[in-house]
Amino acid sequence: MTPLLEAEVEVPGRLALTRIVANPGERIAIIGPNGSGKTSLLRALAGIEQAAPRQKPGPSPHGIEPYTRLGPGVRRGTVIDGAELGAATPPQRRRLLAFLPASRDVPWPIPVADLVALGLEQPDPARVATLLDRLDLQPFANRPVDRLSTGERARALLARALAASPKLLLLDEPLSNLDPAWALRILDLVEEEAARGTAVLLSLHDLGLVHRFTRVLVMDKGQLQFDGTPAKLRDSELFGEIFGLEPAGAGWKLRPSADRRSSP
Amino acid sequence: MRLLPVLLLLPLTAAALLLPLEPLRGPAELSQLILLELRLPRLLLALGYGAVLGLTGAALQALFANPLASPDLTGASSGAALGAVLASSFLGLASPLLLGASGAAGALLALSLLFALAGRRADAPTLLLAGLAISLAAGAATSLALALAPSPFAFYEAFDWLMGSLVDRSLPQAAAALIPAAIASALLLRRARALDELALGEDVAASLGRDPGRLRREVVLLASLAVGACVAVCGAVGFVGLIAPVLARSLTRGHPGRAMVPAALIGAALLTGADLLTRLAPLGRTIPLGVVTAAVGTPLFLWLLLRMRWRMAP
Amino acid sequence: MPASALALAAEAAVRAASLNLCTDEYLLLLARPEQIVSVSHLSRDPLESTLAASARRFPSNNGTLEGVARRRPTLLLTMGSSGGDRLRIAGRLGMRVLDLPFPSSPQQVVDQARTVARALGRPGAAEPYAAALARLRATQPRLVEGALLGQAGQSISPDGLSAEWLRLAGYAQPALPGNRLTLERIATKPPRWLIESNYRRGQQSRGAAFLAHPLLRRLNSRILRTDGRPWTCGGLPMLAEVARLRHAQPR
Repeated sequence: MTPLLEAEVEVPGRLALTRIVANPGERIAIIGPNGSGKTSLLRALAGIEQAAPRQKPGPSPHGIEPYTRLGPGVRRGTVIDGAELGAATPPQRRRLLAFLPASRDVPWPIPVADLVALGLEQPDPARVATLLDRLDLQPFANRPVDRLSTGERARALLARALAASPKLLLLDEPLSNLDPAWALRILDLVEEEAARGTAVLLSLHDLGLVHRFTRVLVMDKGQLQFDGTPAKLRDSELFGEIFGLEPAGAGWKLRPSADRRSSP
Repeated sequence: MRLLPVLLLLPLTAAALLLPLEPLRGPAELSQLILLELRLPRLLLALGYGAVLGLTGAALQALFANPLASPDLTGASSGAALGAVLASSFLGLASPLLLGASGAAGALLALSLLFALAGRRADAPTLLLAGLAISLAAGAATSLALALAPSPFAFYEAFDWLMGSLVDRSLPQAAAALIPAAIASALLLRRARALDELALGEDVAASLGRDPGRLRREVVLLASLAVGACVAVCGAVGFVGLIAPVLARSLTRGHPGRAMVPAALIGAALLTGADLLTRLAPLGRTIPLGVVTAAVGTPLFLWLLLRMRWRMAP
Repeated sequence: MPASALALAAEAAVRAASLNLCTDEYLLLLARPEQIVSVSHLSRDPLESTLAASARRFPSNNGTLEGVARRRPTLLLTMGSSGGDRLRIAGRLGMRVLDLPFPSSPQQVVDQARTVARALGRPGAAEPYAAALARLRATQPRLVEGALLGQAGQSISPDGLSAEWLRLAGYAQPALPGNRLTLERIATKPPRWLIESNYRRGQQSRGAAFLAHPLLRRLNSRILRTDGRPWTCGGLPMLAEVARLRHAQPR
């Protein structure tokens, strides 16, 4: 199948040149220590970090070689569903992608329903109502967003991101600030979206949830270090090196070398 | 509720034209002259300048994501006054268009300085401090420039520049101020949607295809042009650019970008009302326009601060 | 029609108004009462003008065009620019405007008086004042150092209109930093004479405290009093004040 997303992005100083390809319906978790470039990657894919114009055309194999050397003719950017992001107008962009930043700040006391509607090109009260329903925000529909708890605000902002039914969802830490129950419900929601053909990339802090995804990207020091299934990740040495953890049952425990209490 | 500003404007406009009634009781052609040559330009400037203050205030507040941003608190108005005073005192410029351009340049310089001092993503206190500093510095520099001018009446001119005045402005002056201001305002209005989306944050706005850097430059440039042109003719008037957007947002449920139109209407009403008060003041002496707007604006401003505090307290 | 009758008719046709304290002085001193339709409200204040009693006989205006428009003046006297476009609007309202610059010397004051008198159709009205100035000049005394002293130590620049009038009275204004006479200066190097203005004496407590300071009162034998009001504009009323100062004695 033709990839939904083909992108080659770079953020000098924060993210090495990285090539990402994703197919419709993929649910991709991005993990990595703090400062590893997860946010930079998501932002670069969203076209926020100013990437230069266009992008290397042509299909490519699923999977990445992290240290791809690219020739001087390479151009960078994001292409979604064949459309170059850099050339897309705002209405087109809404259909192509939605980006959800980690920050939950909204400086103005806008009602939740209005906030969600900002994600739409044209007013569509029915669509807004559906989204409010899905995220259990109906009781807050007319409440100004600054009078919600952080978790409720997170859901409202997520609803905004889902509003225009974009083909690609780029979510930065969508599960932080959420109750465990809501975190799981959002993951269900992500699966629903993926089932509709949307590709989802989201960054994750809770390693225990990695198994709910079809693919994992591991970032470290601005470089993509691993791209594969969660199972493969669990078995690979790389993970242990990066995080200082090793598998223990269903979860993790500190590696001896990382545990300063053990003798070397 | 949304029609409120418009409903206020109609009686205000009529009052501004017809009051005080005395001078109009004479022969018809004298009344006509007074209405056309004195009251009409004054009314047009009150409506137009007030609208500009409201509109640019709303745009700046949307841009800075800060309810305290306004032409006066960011230093744009004072910068414009300084620009116009320097142009007329030191460069000897008298053409209204050139003075307007100098005013715009002064406002632009002040706003650029604000970004340099406070940074792009400054929090409210930093922004306020930097803006106040620039505003005060520009005001002092304006007084200095006028003090160094040879005429002993410069002191009274300082009042006009720093507190605003609509007295004895002519139709050509009104045109010189309001035509560029109208063009800049129209262009600003086209950015309403982008400014609304800025409420989601610069990153989301960027992901939606709005270039935040370019938006910032455009809003600053257009606001400087509109404010500068008006200040060059009428001096710097405070508070209207702060209060009108705040009131407007209560009509737009908090959306900052679409508040530009209601803010313009409210600003027009506020300034026309204030000017009417200066003309009808029974105190015998003329009260400068800026004093009236301050008198009305200060209680509203305090209420705004208190409301922000209450909201932050649990 | 004989020339004099024409002149009389011209004179009678003039309806003059003044928007400014300083041009009020010209109007009140040079025009016939029937010619004056409005003077600025500042002149009505006896604390502000020596001509207040005279000014009160006429309708007052607040210094704006709208304030005088309904009186239909044919001649408008103004001084000092405003941010507005007064000249243009006044022209469209059918007024002839005499916009006078702030004078820089006593001679310019007299020249302005002549201009105003001509505009009023009374060319001879300024001559007595021109003669008075000539007399003062002819009898110019030798200069001694003397500083004009106002509230809170305010003084004047040694160049400029006020200093010229002071010179005519026989006193040379010393140059003072910031045009201010500080108490230190009074203690260390006081001017030979002090000409103390009584302008709004009762109204500024800080200024009054300065004037009551012992360091200053110590020099009482060298302090002359002057009426502060004519100094504001430095116009025609200064002629009388200068003449009085020449014979003033310290109290």
